[in-house]
Formats: sequence, C-alpha cells, structure tokens
Amino acid sequence: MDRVFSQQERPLSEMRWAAVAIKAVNPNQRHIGILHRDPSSGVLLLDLAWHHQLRNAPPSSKYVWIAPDIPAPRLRQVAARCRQVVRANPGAIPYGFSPPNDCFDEQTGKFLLGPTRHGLTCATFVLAVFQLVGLKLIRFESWPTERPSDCEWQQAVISALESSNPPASPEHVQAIKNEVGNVRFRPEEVAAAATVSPLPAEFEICAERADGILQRLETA
Amino acid sequence: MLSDESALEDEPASVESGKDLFQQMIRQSSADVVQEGWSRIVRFEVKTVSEQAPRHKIQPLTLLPVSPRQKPPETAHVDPKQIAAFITSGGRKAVVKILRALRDRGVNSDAVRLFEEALAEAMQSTRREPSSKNLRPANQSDSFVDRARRLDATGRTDLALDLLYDAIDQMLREARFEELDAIIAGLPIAECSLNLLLGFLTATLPARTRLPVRPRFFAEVKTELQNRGEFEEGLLTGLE
Repeated sequence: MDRVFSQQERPLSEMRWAAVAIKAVNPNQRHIGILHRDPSSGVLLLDLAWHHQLRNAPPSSKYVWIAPDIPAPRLRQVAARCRQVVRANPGAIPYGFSPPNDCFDEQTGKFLLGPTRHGLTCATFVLAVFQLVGLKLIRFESWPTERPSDCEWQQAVISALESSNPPASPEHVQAIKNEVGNVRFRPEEVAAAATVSPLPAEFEICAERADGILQRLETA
Repeated sequence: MLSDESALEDEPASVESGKDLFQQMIRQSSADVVQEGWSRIVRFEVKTVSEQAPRHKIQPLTLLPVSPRQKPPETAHVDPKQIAAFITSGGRKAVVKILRALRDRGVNSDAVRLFEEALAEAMQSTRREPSSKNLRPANQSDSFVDRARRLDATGRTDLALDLLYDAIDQMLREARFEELDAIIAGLPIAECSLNLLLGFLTATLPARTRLPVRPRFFAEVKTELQNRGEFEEGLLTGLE
C-alpha cells in the first residue's frame, strides 16, 4: 500500500514534518497517534493514550507510519499545532466518544479539547488535531452509525474507565455513557484515510484500506 | 504574549519584594505550561535586544545559561532595565524557569535573591515609566508579530510558529477578536515567509467567522504566494 511504511522500510528520519502512526496493541485493538518533527527533540509521537494521558514522546519501533499526501508546509503547521496542543493541554484531555469536529467554540473563543467536551479516543484525537489546522482526513458524514461491535467497544471502554486506577470520575463516566452509540472512527480506518488522495476520505475506501493496514501491522 | 508594557500594566500595582514578585510570577505562569522553547526564544530575544539597543546592554553571561545543558550562572548581577526589556508574559515564564534552574542547581541563595530583587526593581521602574510614547493599540501584539518575524528570518521558524500559535491562541481564549482582526489587517504580507503566512491562516482558522478581515487576508495571501511562485495545489485547502 502506498504511503505506508514500517520503520525498517523507511526510518522516521525520512518523515516530513508530520505523519500518522499506528500500532497493534493486541489482536483486537489498535492505537494511533501523530508523528511530528520537533525542532529540539526529533520525531515525537503525540497520542491520547488513555483518560488524561496525552503523551508526547519518541515512538516505539512497532509503529507503522503513513505519510499523507499533504504539502510539506501544511504538515509543518500540523507539527506546530501538535506542540501547541501539548503546551495547552498538559494531561488534560479526557477519554470519551465525542465527535472530533468543531473542537472550538466560536462564541466563547475557547477550545473544546478539554473539560467542555467529554473526551476523545486516540483516533478522534488525531482527526481533531488535523481538523484544527484545516485538514480533514475523513468525510465524517460518510461514517456508519451504531455498528454493533462499536457499541460493544464503547461499553468496554466505560468499564475500563470505571475500573482503572485511579478510576475516572463518576460524572465523567456518566457523561460518556450518554455518548454510547456515537460514531466510532476506528484507528485503522483513520490510518487508512491518511493513505487516500485527495482528502477527505470516504468511509468506503477507508474500510477497504483498513484491511491492508491490519495486514501490515501483522507483519510489522 | 503581550508587549512588555501591556503585560505589566495588567498586573496589580504593588510588588512588595522580590519574593512577592516571584510568587506572583509563579501564579501567572503555571509550571505546566512553561514551554520548552521559551528558553531559546528568550536567549534569542536577549541577544537581539543587546545588539539593537546598546544602551540596554545585556550581559549574556548572566542571562544566556537557560538551557539545562548549560552551566548556571554563579552570580546574578542584572541591570533591572535589561530584564524589563524582555518581561513579556512569555518572558516571565522563562524567568520562572531561570529561577528554578538557579535553585535546583544549588546556586547560593544570595544570587537567587539578587536576581529576584533585580526583577522586582525592574517591574517597579517600568511601572513608573510607562513607555506609551509610541504605543499604538495594535502594538500590544505587534511585538509577537515582530518577534516571530525575527525568529523566522534567522532560521528559527519553528520557534516563530510556537510564538505565533501561543499568542493567537491566548487572544482567542480571551475573545480578543477585534484586536486580532486589526493585527491581521496590518500584517505586511509581502514581507512574511510562506511558513508564517500559513501560520497566521492556520492559527486563526478556528475563529474564522469572528474575524471579518480574514477572508480578504486569505485572498491576499493566495495572490502573494502565486506571485512568488510558492503556491501549489492543496497548499491552502481548508484554510479559507
């Protein structure tokens, strides 16, 4: 598949300013983040690892990366925005199923990547950051709603939030229970979107290419 | 990221001592948001001020060692006016970092106290001398634009973008849309690099409907980039 590289095939040093990276956590779960070139620290992975766990650190070698077909100067802005998001949200982004679009309240001037939104997943976080710089990776409205396996996954996340140490607050858990049934953008689908040109990508092609991403992860 | 003057004017009038000042700076600059790049920005700013304003000569040996990899200063003899020259809100964060570095490395308490006192004096003296002679309203943010342009012109484009994003983000959070609109209207497009122009368009994108000047700015940037031969397909997609 074009634009998809393991780090053995193509080291991260060859990455332009920003890219998408994905790895397999277990046979049923993938994790995704944004690679960005930091002027002082080299290539870092910005990812929403879990509830209030926004990480910004060198990626492990297990990540496969995707170089989106976006002009380099725009990717440089993605990198700048990544750094800004880190500075503005130190550990403050909750995990939840809120939609990734319109993360800015134009009436109040406040970013919604924070307490005023219930939270994002690793995949919606990637979509939100790209959206914030004017780059839509996917056509949101083309995504299917309430896929049965997605609802199951959302319920499992809620259970994990309740039992994690420390557990998420009861208020937060209740808030995201109300979000069960929201559209889920799976990590491999978002990664697949980054292979599509021109953007934004439709669900159909992302679903098709997501299979290819999964295969690449098996061999990575 | 306000200008030095506006940042100071926004603060309470009295600072009793260096200790109070330090506490005040801590309150205003949460450690969580201290940006790593500020140390480099401040070093650059100090150097630039030093070169451009000899009468406020900066002593580099005193102010330069901000990086964790560099040796901290043994003494802290700083002319208050030199410090006032870079006390922006970002500068304050850097100062907090300097003070922490001094303390963390066991620099003697007299040196730390001297530094704090010098800062307190600088703040007080700047309050007594509000430098509003040539201060137009837009100058409050001209400073960040000028600094970003200087950083960009000297190859520190990523630091310039960091400064730009932080400054604009702060203005948006404070709903200072009119002020930001005025800054965009006054930008010297022909003198800004591709990266800075994209930075302005990108950082202001979330508030596009609140910035009446922005559509014209977008059109002018597009024309400028086309004229320069820097325009390519997809370069401005999504930034309208």
